[in-house]
Amino acid sequence: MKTVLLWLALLAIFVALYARGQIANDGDAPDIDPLFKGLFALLAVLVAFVYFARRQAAKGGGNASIMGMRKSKARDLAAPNRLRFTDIGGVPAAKEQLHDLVRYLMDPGAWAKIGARPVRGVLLQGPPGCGKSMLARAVAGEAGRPFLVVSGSEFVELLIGVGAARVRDTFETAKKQAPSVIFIDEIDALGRRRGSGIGLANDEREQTLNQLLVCMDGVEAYPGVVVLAASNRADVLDPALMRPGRFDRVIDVALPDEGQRLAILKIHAAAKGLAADVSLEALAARTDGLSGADLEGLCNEAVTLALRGNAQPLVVGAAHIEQALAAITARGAGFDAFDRVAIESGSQLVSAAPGVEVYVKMVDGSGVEGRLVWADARFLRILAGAEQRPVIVNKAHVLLMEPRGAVLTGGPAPRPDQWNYQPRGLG
Amino acid sequence: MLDFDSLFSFDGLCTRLLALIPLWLSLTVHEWAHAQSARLLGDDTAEALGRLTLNPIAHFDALGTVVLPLLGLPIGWAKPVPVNPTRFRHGMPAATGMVITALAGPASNLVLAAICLAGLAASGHYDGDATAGIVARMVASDFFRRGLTVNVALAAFNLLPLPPLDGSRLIDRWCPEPLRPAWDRLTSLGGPGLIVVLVLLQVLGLAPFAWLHKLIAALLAMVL
Repeated sequence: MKTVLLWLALLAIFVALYARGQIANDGDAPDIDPLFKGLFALLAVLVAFVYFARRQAAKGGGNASIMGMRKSKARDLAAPNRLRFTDIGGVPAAKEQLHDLVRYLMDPGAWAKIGARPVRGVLLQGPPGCGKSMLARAVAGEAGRPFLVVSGSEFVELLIGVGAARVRDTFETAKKQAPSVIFIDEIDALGRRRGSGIGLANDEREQTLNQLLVCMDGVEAYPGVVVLAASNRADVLDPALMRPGRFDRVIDVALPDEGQRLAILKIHAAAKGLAADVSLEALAARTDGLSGADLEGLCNEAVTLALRGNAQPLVVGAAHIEQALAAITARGAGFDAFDRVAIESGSQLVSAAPGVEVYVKMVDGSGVEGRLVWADARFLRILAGAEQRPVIVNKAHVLLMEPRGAVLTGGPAPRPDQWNYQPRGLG
Repeated sequence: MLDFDSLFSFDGLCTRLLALIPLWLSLTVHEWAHAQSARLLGDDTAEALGRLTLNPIAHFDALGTVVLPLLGLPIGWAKPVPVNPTRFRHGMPAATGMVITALAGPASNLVLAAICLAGLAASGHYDGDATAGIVARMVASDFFRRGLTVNVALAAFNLLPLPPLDGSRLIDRWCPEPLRPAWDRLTSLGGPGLIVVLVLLQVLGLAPFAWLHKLIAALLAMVL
């Protein structure tokens, strides 16, 4: 109906414009112009007004006030976004630890009865793409309790006090539905070590963080509210966040090993038709250093390639997998995909004497000394081109050392029998 | 070809709008044809997004539907209709289905062009001579003539085998395997790249649409 009216209106405008053009050509109607102009302007204003009014209405309005800003943006995780532990492959240890949390959420009374301190905070940490957020979604699905999702950056505002107010509001909301979970994704946006920034802008963040600390374990308790947080920069978090009573459980969600990768691949390949020549076992063995998200991307890429092949029914063959592996490896401006993993694990400080004696200093301060056995070409290039020592390298490298074996392995390290040691241009 | 001066006079604006209306209607039918063909093949993505409609507003694209045509670009484009080839049913292979849905757009323009041609013949051909005929027939004749021009132009333009355009789906389907990586790279440059190049050429006065004009002029001369 609306469509028909619109077409008729457009046709009517066409007729009007045409008629106007004819009259203007005849040159006998100069006084029509102002009228048309007025009508046209009126129409334009009307259309603009209706458009903006409708857009405002669609937004829901009301959120523009200062009071609205103080409300938390946290929302309960909808059922379709909730997962089960069985939907996630390859993180057995993390699942096991999170199971405690689920048990607590389902029956907090049991913990009180035996006098155990209730669970207050659980921090999931690990490199990106390893399943932190998925695990959180699984906790929501398993426990079936209110699960408020908020991202760390949503607490950060320019106006001082707003973030803190939002933290309080989030906890109040959660308390009303206790036992419940507040999931703060990317907590490093607000949980950064205090006193580390420059300028006034950090006052707001520190206030927000203080409020979070108080809410988690202060004099005003929020019984039955568990804070679950995820971060891939746990090293920059404020120490006060990590003390007992706050995030006292830190769950490492690390890169999957071979068996775990197989579990992940099986889940992602389950829905897709695999050709007989595909061996997930072999693929799992070859994808050292890939995260769960990388593997998901790999499977997706393979299916996309298979789709292009136009076969019916759709079958993902070994060739598609090979091509997908090559594609995701090529991504990222010439670095292999394997590298991305270790970039996130922090910068590594490396100093190397000319020759083969190497001293590697890790971010946590520990160091390893040994004879360099094998290093990938890119690493050697960086070392060779460095103007001064020590060299700070924040891309990942494969670096094998004796007597300690592989120290930094950001990628697929060759097995000892493949080591082909050549001191190429070191120093 | 891009002409700013005439746009800022009221007469010029009216003239431009006159040309715009057949274009809008044709673009609407074009996008609707994409959505409808995908629906017939089993993919209801476009329908779910409210694009299976002849309502021009649903397919509105600020740049391609209003700004550039108003500036004098002889053709335009609307918001692309999303098609999900994995949802094709009835044993339709994905790539072939994509070709069919892509061709549905230009095909619809050709159908419209045929209708306009018939309408033009029925309403007679009046060359702006106000005394020669009834006003209604003059309006209809002008409308159909513009419709014919714009639809032939749209069909021809969209059949160009350049990545964001419908014609590129043919290459997608039948690209020889060795050339595939190069083609994929071209595709990923795609959308905005082509538009920028076309508009730049136009601004520089190299008129990439000149051949289109010639084609249409020749066609009109042939039938009228």
